Amino acid sequence: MSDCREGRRLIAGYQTGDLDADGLVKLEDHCRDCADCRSLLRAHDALLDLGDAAPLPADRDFARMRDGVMARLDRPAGTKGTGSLWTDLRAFLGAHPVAAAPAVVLALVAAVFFGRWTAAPGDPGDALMSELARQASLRQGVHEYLDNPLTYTNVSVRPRGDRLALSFDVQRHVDLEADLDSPLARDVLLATIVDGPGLGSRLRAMQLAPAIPDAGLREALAFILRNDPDVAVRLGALDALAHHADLPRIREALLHTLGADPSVQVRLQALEHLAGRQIDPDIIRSAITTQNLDGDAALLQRAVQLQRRES
Amino acid sequence: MQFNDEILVQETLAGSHAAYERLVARYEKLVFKVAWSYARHRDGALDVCQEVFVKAYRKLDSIRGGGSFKAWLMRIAHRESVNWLRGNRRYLEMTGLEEAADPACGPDQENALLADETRRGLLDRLGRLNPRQREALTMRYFDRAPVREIAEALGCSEGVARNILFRGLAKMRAEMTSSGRET
Repeated sequence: MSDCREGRRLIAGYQTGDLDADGLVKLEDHCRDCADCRSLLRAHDALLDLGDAAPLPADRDFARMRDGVMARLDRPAGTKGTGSLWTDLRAFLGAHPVAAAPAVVLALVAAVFFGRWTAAPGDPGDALMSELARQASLRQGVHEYLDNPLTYTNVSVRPRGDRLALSFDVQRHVDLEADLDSPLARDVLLATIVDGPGLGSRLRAMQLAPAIPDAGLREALAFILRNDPDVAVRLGALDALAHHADLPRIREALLHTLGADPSVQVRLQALEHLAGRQIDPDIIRSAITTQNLDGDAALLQRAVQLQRRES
Repeated sequence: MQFNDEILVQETLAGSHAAYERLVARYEKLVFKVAWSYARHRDGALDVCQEVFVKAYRKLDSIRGGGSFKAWLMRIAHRESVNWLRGNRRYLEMTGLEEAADPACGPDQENALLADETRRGLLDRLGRLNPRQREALTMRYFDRAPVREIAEALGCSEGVARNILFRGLAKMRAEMTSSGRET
């Protein structure tokens, strides 16, 4: 360790990014005459390089790892994952140590061949559209959407008669019309609701969502309702979900909003949507007072008014 | 839209796999780097990643009371990497895959070989640090983590974390000097 007290103090600050401009000048001056501290700085630089040198796998390898994680989440503890090349190789070598060398060569050759084969460029036209349609038809919920290797950007959706005009980028920009109940329409709508480029496009997508009876879209709306920081977006999600308030999960989401949303306006809107759904008044009252929030009294009063109106 | 870790953890605990997948995607590269610094082997490190995220999911309710998901995940990543190394050392020695899996990555093969050798030397030295120094240096140099996060992961004060970081660096330097290959 360095015996140089001043150098040690300066390098410790440099290491943690706490050194100001004055300190940097002092460090530079100091290191000019102190070989000990210069070698500490070299160790510091070497470690920085090492952190950047980790050979990160390709996105598809990470996607495969994520698939393995997601597939194991609900399995009992102790269940081993889907194998990477390493897992499979290790299991094989455990049973056949003599075959180690040929197995390694074979595995590496196979990996190289497979890498080249999958890297071959495809036809970006029809092939892309059929792949989009195929992948969209495989997805049902937010989970599957987030796992989508083809990311939709610049998304927007507009009604056009009894169809939807979809506009989005996936490697290249695409404009087309699709049936309301097509998987692609659902996919782009979901992308717009979750990651839409602006408030307007997200709200428009939410207005269109009730026309598509899809559990994935409802899941996305419930997610937005619970978590989006923008009141207008939460109100949009609330209005869209209210069309399905007879479904137990949606009713539960509305009751949760009634009790927990930080905005009184959103809570009031949830109350209006829940009115007339033949829900036990005690459940409504209990939901309102769950978290003892500021607007509870006004909401309880409004709940009584609505109850009287219904009866 | 970016949801913070706390929201995603809450959503995961409420049953959302989608939220957890976002957390996995957010931290997979960092966990990979930690795992790779132990395994030095790409597929092995990916296996460690999978174990880390599955174990983290199963124990997620233990951070319900607060605390940083990332710091907590880093602790699991280091623990699982050590476990993986213990369980696979024999196979790594048998196959010689430990150093061979990462292809040379420079335009000039000689330079790439030198860089690879330097990297191996540094990883050896990193492996000779005590666990807390190693964890602190990995977080600082692989993720540029601030001292506050490192202190949280180590369960100590920021002052102690700074001390651990500096001692780790000094030990790395001493190892480099004694091996005569100061880089």
